[in-house]
Amino acid sequence: VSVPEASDRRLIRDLRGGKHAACADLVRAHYAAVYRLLLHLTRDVPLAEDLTQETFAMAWQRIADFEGRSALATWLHRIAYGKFVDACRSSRRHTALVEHLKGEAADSRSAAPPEVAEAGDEARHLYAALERLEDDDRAPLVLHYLQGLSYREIAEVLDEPAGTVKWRVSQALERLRALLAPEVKRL
Amino acid sequence: MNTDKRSDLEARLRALPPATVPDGLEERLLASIPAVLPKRDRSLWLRRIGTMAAAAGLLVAAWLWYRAAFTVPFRLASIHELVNVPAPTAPVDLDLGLDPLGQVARVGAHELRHPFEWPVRGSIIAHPRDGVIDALLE
Repeated sequence: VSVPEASDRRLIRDLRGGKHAACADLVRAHYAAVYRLLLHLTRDVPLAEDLTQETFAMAWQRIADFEGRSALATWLHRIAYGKFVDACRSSRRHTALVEHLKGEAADSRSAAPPEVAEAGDEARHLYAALERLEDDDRAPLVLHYLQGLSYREIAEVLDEPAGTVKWRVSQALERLRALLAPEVKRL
Repeated sequence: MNTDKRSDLEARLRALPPATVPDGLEERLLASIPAVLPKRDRSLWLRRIGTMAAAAGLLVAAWLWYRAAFTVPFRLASIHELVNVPAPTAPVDLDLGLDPLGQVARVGAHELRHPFEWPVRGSIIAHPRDGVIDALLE
């Protein structure tokens, strides 16, 4: 998900200069990754779309104060994750999320991307197991393995020490393996 | 064994097909880009610099006041003053005020004095008031 540093610097300079074309470049380069992160976190397509829009709306507000200490992708992931946390805290959306999750418990394949059906049973089971994980376990796994962020970048997104992130990823991986074990036996 | 299973799971996770992005999302995001982006708030930095400058000014003023109130006035001598210092053996101008015993000699129109010398009694340097003390003791 990360853009080369030189491109990032040029893009940041243009964004601070208020160039509209730079904003469009930022959207094109990162919107898919931001959407996928939010989809994996929320497991709700419309909600993920809304939060993606909110993420970029906040990015436009904060771009002037962005100091370039991290990659733009990491910065956007951090905003997106904050939006997800805010959405969970919001009572209205939290209720909707809970209802949605209850519905998903009955059909765990609903949020899996269409490509999964073509990819086969293995990918489908893996997605289903990922969705059954708690948010605290799923977030670091999604950020590391699906979004391709390093431990240090995840630490910036989650606002935690890199060592803690590494430990959380390891623990989440063990829980995911435990969830997959019965399915593997059944297969 | 456990490590192998873990590596296998990691590889499977990395190989998962990415989720499809809905059609029209990119267009909506591009359409929502504001015409004018907010600029960096420079007034905040100006306020910070102003506060720091005011604090530095107060510190300097306090130091100057302290120096004026509690220290002996002192100034460096100029080159001219250093060059014109009279020789130790030469008569000293009265204005310097170094004549505690009033041993002033007037030579011509100028007020001069001889260099002060302690009265010597035998091999001991005697204080001018020794005689007075001796008289009191007697």
